[in-house]
Amino acid sequence: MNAELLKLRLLALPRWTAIAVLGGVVVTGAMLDVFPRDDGAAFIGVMGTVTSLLTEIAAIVLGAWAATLEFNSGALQRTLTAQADRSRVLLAKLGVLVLAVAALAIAAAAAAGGLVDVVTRQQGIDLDRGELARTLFANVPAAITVTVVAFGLGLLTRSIGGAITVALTFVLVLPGLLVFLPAVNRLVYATFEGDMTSRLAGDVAPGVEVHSLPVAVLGVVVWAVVLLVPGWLRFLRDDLK
Amino acid sequence: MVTAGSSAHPIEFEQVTKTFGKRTVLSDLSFSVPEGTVVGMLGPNGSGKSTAMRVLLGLYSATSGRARVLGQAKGDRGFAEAVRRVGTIIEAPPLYKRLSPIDNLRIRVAATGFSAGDAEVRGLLNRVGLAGRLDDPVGDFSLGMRQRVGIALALVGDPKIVVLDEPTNGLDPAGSFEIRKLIQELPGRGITTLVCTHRLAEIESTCDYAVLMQRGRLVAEGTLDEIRARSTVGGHRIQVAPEALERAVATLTALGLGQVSVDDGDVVLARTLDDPSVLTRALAQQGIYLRGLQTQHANLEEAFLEITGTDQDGTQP
Repeated sequence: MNAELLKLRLLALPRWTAIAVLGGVVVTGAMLDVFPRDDGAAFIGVMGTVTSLLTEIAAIVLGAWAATLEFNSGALQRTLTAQADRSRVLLAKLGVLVLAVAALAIAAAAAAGGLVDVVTRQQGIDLDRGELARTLFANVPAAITVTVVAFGLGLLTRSIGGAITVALTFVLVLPGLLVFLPAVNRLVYATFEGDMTSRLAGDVAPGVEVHSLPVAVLGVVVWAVVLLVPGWLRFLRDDLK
Repeated sequence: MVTAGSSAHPIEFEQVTKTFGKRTVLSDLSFSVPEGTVVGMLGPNGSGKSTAMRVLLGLYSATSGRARVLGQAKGDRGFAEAVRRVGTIIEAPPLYKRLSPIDNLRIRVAATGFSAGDAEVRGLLNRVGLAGRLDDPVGDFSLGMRQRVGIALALVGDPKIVVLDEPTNGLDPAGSFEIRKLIQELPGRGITTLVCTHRLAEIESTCDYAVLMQRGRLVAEGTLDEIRARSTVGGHRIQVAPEALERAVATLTALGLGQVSVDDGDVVLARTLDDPSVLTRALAQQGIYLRGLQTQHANLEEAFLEITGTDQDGTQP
């Protein structure tokens, strides 16, 4: 686990990903200051959407990166001679990754909330701060599950580019493609994840059909497991160099 | 030679076969490496050396047979702990190129769980001649310097075994010399070393014992002298009085030790004997006394080519 923490700390991609997420939040806060909105809900909506999108993309990039790092750097032999128990290697990677993404998502939500608070106070706009916090922090579980999905796809494809592309398609594009097949669309990962986030944020519009929170969580967990297990088993069983 | 679980043989291959689909890469490979020795695994490109190393380290699963490291084979309870005591470089040193040598070693130390402070890490890098470049990204290093970082990585945590695959690949003569010197120091630290190479000079300058492979099979093993002795290129050149020449040829031929001929007034036995006194005794019993006896050894290259029937690149003549 220490080695995975060191990789996160020393290697460039995690650092730049964190900078991109937090930088994106800061830039959004600045934009809201420069181009003010009329009501607090608009501030929450803009910042909530940006934070959600940034953390999900970061989670996908970090998940794919962590799973494929050794394949891409040729350091797999070094990792597997330091720890020949492959399940432990994956558990350490995934454990550290989930903690890191959760920390990043919480930091992004906190920064976003702080910025919105400062900007709305300066502009004298009334804001439901409870709603702001719920909206921003509701993204954290989604970021974690997206990480697991991207990690699983990384193990399966063994290509960071391939894993990111497939994960982005799966999480962000597929629901749009299936909009004309609502019965199918209700069962895809992104719908369960979106419904889970909406329920946690308490942001369910009247008349919109949304899974209940337990069903949404169950759907997300099942999808995460389904997408994680094949790559995990492939890593355990294959000849690796 | 293979003794299951023997601590005297930290590396053991026992009838290991590895196939990829219909292609057999290792075929019934059996040999073991005595503790504290430097053993060379020699073979042309594609002979299965790297695959054998990967099977040993559990990166590949053997199709049949068992490869043991410190008495533990893949699937055994103690295998992970045993492999942790092995320092390796298989093919190119696996490095994070944007990190410094120190950070590369820190990750290795953390991954293995060994306790090594910064001073020890720096000491290890100093020992492989990288004292002046400790904080530079290894991506800026020459191939030789990366290989040194690889050797330092292999030495993290005082390994019991070091497995090196083509350790001087791409190095200039000075770099190769320094790496060989490092390898020669390993037995003194109690480290058993397996050097996998297609370079005969590397084996001759660093190894006590060699295993010759061809097309996934072990074709010969032994000390370097034993392997050289298997070549017909070496032999003994014997000087006797001219009038005794014919009798000497007849006497040595009767011993059945190998082809005997006459060359430039000398009797030539086309085989190197471990104990040439056999010749002197046989001749003395016939009343033939030697004026001289020279032993000629084939070099390892000649022996290797003769045993495998190939050139060094694995091409059949």
